[in-house]
Formats: sequence, structure tokens, C-alpha cells
Amino acid sequence: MITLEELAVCYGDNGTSTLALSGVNEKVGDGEWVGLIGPNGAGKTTLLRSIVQLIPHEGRTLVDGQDTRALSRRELARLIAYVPQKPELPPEITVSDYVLLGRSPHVGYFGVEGAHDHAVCAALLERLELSSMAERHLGTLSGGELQRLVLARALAQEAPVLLLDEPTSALDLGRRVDALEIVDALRREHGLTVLSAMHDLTLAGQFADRLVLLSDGKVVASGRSDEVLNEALLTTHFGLHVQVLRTGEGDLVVAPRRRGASPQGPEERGEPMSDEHEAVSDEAVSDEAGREAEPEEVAAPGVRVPSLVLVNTGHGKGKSSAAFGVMGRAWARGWTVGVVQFVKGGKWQVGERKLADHLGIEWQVLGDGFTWESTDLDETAAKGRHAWSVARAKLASGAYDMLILDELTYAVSYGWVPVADVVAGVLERAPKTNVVITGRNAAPELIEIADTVTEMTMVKHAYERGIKARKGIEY
Amino acid sequence: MTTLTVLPRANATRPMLVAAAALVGAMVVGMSVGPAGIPLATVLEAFAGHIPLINYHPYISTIDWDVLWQIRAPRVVLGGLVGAMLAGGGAAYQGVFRNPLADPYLLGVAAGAGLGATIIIVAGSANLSQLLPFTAFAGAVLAVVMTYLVGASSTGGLTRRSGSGTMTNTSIVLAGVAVAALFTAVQTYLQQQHSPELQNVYAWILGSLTVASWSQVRLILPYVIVSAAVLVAHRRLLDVLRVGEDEAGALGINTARVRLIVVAAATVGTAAVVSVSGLIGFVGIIVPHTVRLVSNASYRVVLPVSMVGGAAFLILADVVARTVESPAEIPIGVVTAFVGAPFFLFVLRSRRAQSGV
Repeated sequence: MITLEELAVCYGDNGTSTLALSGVNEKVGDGEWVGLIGPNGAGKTTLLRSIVQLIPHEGRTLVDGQDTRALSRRELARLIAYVPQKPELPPEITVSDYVLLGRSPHVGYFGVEGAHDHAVCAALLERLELSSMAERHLGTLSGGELQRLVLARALAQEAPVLLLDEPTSALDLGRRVDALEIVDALRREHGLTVLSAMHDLTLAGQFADRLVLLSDGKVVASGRSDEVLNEALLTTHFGLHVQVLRTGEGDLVVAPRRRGASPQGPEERGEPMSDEHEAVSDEAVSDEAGREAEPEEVAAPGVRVPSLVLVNTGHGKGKSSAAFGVMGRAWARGWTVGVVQFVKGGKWQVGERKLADHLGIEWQVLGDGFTWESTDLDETAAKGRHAWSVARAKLASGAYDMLILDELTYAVSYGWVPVADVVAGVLERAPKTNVVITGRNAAPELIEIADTVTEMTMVKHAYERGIKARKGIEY
Repeated sequence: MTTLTVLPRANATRPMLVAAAALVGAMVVGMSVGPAGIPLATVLEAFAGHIPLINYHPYISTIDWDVLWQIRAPRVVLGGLVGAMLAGGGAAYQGVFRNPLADPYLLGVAAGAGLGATIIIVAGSANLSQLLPFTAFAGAVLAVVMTYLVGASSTGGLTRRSGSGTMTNTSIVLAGVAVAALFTAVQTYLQQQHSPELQNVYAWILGSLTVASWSQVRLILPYVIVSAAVLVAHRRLLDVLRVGEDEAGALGINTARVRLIVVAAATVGTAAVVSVSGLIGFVGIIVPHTVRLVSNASYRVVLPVSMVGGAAFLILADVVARTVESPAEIPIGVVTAFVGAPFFLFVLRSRRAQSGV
């Protein structure tokens, strides 16, 4: 019914143009409902508007075998009914006057609507339960009533193709499902072909026969909902971790993950890093936090769960140890793991380092030992910045399943690395890379982007009982 | 649930009857008020005597008849035509530009007519009263054509389909502002150079029906009839335009073409009437809005009722203009603004109170 051939749309002219759509080839069959999904700016609205000839485009759009560019506006309007995302709803116009606008393509230039036009519109008002408000003004209708009214006007065109741009964006959940069910019922009654841009991915999967995922003006996936509603695809193109769950009835539910979930709260920060003993003995033997940080595989085989950001902070012991525990578990799963140490180095080597060397885990020590022993603070700061640039490149590279950024928070709290840089680096990481950040005084911005925050508070420590650091057991 | 077969529609009949009654009343007042002091009964008798096929011959003095027929009647008819055209043009402009503040002077009609009139006034022509309408008309039409060309060249194409890269309402309105500024600048320069004529130019700008005659009525009547007919014929399409260019386009309307035709018709009609009446303000805004507020916002109602109501309004405004300082006259533009604005505010307030807005 609808065929798009090499559809391309370019906004702006000479020099500063933006490609809003490019190389779109799609077919929507007779009576099919295809849902267009994709992030804001992906080109969903542009695609719909170019089909109905509201914007100039390259390539061809065929509807019912006819090139839409060769049709007059009237002919086009008898073939396609288009409902924009935010229809103009003049508040002082009446319901019946509004629905009759849909008859425009069937009324002559100087003509007025006749008995048949009235009958068509009256039947639609009745079908959509709007008859009782025929004389009311649009300004007095509720959101759900207006939604039905807009559909009634579109159907009054008696066009075989219905293009809907976010038909339910202004409605609450109940009205949203109502509206989509009406569209579904009407398309079956009238044999309509429906192409609709949809924001709600779960509802898109439930109602549309097929989904087309647009991103940056290109079709990146097209197929049945279980093919397109894929965690890796959605995570990549929406820039947000999502989980796709399957209900008992076999429906797919797309669950976005909060970016700023912090179950333990970022309290007890603000303490300056001045306690040598504390810092020296940061690497306790325990790895109790490891189990908490372990990602669970819940998705179908071959699709990895979206990566996590873990922050181990607090003023107790075990932050780094917990991170290294996670390192070991990740290695055991066959993951590629990398470690960057931001502060400790030289004579301060942790025991896990040997384990990492033994297992072949990449481990870079980029700090210069403890800062307060540094003789040249500028050099120390430069080293911290260098360490961050190395870490940032690794984050973006996509080569790692997990990166441990040990004691990164110190580089931030000393002002060597701006926290905004760290946040950006973490958010812009390769989608599969899990990140573990440790150190005291984690900045609120870091806590905000973490999926899990583990706060260590006053774990009992051997040092306090007079047991000095020994070779092999560094505190 | 009740089954509807014919949908309740905007109906122009009742508001039209009210407007028509107002027009008849205004005409009677316009005919009977004046320095000659002819009693109302005489006026009615005089016209009853001239109804064809009725054998009624009351005694009317020749002077009275001449006053009625040669002075008052053309003035009433001319006032009616001017008022109808300004109100209808205003409603049409508000419809195509979807802007409640649009008036028939939006695209430069006033500035163009003003410049045309100024040129002929400062040139000191001997046939001023005969030439002025033509130069004013030419200036008005020229200004709007320039506005359209400037608006089109900035975005490309006069009648292309709506959407990005084609002429939008905004670009046309902005072009109208620019063209009006240019014409007004030239006009101001000419006025400064010919300060003795300043008062004549100024009087023309404020508008007047002082020199109304049957020849002027005959001059503008064809334009007004054609223009009004085209506008009323577009009433349904103006209703479709209310949902915006995109949706109207998707409903099968070539919005650019409708806009061009409606603007052309409104411009020719408005240019014709201002060329004989001068620049009478406010009518194009007050009358359509009053109709919208008291009856219905559909152009099926607004357009025809505004024309009839506008005619009534301007006839009454002219009566006020020529009686307040009788036998001297004040400019009719002053009256339309002075009477119209408070009336409009009154209507607005009472409607708001009713609808609880």
C-alpha cells in the first residue's frame, strides 16, 4: 500500500543542511499497522510529513501504486489521512464543524458539505461516542474526547491510509490504550493501512504488526516487535539502558532503567582525605561488596544486559577490594577486564595486583604513590589527568566488558579532573562496558549516574588491633 | 444515544437578520439626519413615492428631494459599501493569516493608497478629485503586489505547497511590514517637502465621505461586488484554514492558492473603497470580532454578517462624524476608533462574563 523508495529529506539550504532522513526503503502492506519508533529527532515526523507531501523530499513515495508527488492535494487527501502530533484544535469551533472539515477532499472548491457528508460524519461521531457533544465547543472537551474527535475527522476523509504522529502522547495510560484500541478496531472495520509514530515502545510492540526503528534519519531495524524491541538495539539508539521483559501472555515490556538510582544514598561525604592510615589501608581483605555489584543476566542468550556503573565509596575499608573482587568474578565469566589505578603506585602495591598479573588482566598503575608524599604537586596533578585521559579512551574504546577505575574520586576531589568530564566519559562509554569507580568522597554527580552505590562505613580493621601491614596483606 | 442525520451547523440566518435590521435602521438614520432638517416622515414618504408599481405621489419639494437623493443617498450607499468591504476584508485577512489582529491594511494597502494619494495631492493637479481615486487604488495594489513578491522571493514560489521552503504567513506579514515602512517613508518625505499640502493629505488619511456622489458609488461598486462575492465563496475554505496550513494541506487544500486568491480579492476591494473614502481604521477589526463574539466564529457566519454589519456601522459612524460639530465634520476615522473601541471592549467584557473566561 505504501512504498518508500530511497526517501531522503534535507533541512536547510546551501552549506548548512542537515540530513533528516536518508535512504529509507520500506513497504507497508494493505491493512497492516506499522509502528515507527526511535528517539526524538530520529526522523519519524519527517517521514510521515514527507509521505503526505508537506515537506520536499528526494526519492519516491508510492501510495496504492501512485507516486504521491504526481497527485494533487485533493487526490492525496482522499488517499491519506494525516493526524499531526499536536493537531490545531481551535477552542471556539464546534465538534460537528470540526469533523466536517474531514470532508474537505470530497467537497468542491466553492461547494458546501451535502447530505452524504453529514451522514458520514454523523456515523463517525456515533461510532466514537461523540454524538451527544456535537454542538459543544472544542475548548470544553477532555483530552480523550479530543483524541477521538481528531480520529473522527481523519476517518471522515475516507482515505485508505492513516498516518498518525504520536497519536496518544497527550493521554494518560488508560486513555492511551483506549485510543490505540479504537485505532485497531477502526482499521479492521475499514481495512485501513496504518503507519504511526509511537513513543511508547511497549504499546507499539503490542499494537503494531511490525515496527520500524529509526535513528539519525536511517532505518536501523525493521521487523516483528520481538525482533526490533531488542535490548542492545534500544540501548544503543535511545542512549539509555533498557530491559525488555516478557509477560506471561508473551507481550514484551520495555523497561527503561533510571540513570540516577542510588539505593544507599550519598550521605557522610565531605570529609577531607587527610588520614594516611585510612588511605594506606584501603585495600582490605574483604570483598563483601562484590556480590552486590554483580550484574545478573536476565535477557535472552546472545543479548547482554546493559552495562552498569558501580561506585564504591564511604570512609571505611574495602572499597577497592570489593572492586577487585568483582574483577575476579568478571574474569571468571570470560569478560575482558581492565584496571586503572589513579593514586596508589610505586611502593604501594595491592595484593590483587599479583592475581591480576597471574590471570593476565590488564592493570595500569598511573598514580605516583600517595599524594601527600609527592614532592611536585603539579606533576602529580598532571599524572592524574593523564590517568583520566587513558581511562576515558578505554571507556570509549569498546574493548572492555569491565573497567575498574580505582580511586578515581581522589583525582576528582583534588581538582585534577573536572567531575563533569568524568560524568561525560562514563555516560559516553561503549554500551557494553561496565564501570566500577572507587574512592572516598564520591561527588554527588557521580553518585547520580551510578546504578549501584556501595557505601563502606567503618569495617573493622586489623590495623586498629596493632597488626601492621605485612607483605602479601596490604591494608 | 440519539442518532444524528444532519449535524448541527453554524447558521448565519439569525445573526444575518439582526445585521440586516441594523443596516436598514442605519440607512433610515443616515437619510434623515442632516443640516437640512427634513422630517423623518418626509424622508419615508419621498422614498415610498419612488417605489416602482406603487401609485403613491406625496408632495416633496425639489430641494428636499435633491438633498435626499443627490447628497444623503450616495453618502449612505458609499458608507455602506466602504464599511462592508473593510469589515469583510478584515475578516478575510484574519482568516488567511490566522491572526486576530490582522486588518485589511496588513499587507500595505493603507501605505500604498496613502502614497498614491499624497503624490497626486502634492502634485497640485487641477483634477484632484477625479485623479486621486486612481492613484490611491494603484498605490494600494502596487504595495500588496510588492509585499507578495518580496515574501515569495524570500522563501520561493507563490503557490507552492505549504511546508518548509515555501512561502509562509510569517514571511508575507513581515514583507508587508517592510513594504509599508518603505511607502510610508516616501510619503512622509513628500509631505515634508510640500508642507502647505500637509493638511489635505492628513484629512485624506483620516478618511471622509464628504465628497460622496453617485459617480463614486458607480466607480467602486463593481470592485466591491466581485471582491465580496469571491470572499463569501471562500467562507468554507477559510474555516478549513483554521486548523493551520499543514493540516489544511493534508485535508486537500492548496493553502498558498487559497491565500493568494483571498488576499487578491480583499486587496482589490479594500483598495477600491479607500481610494474614495480615505483610510478609515478600526472597522476591519472591530466588526468581525464583534460578530465572532456575539454569534459564531465560523467564517460561514463571520464573513457575510461582518459585511452587512460593517455597512451599518460605517453609515452610523458617518452620521456621527457629520452631526457632532454640525455643520462642520470630523474625520470618520476618528469616530470609528472613538466609538468602536469602547463598544468592542464592552462586547468582549460581556462575553467573557457570560462564558466565565
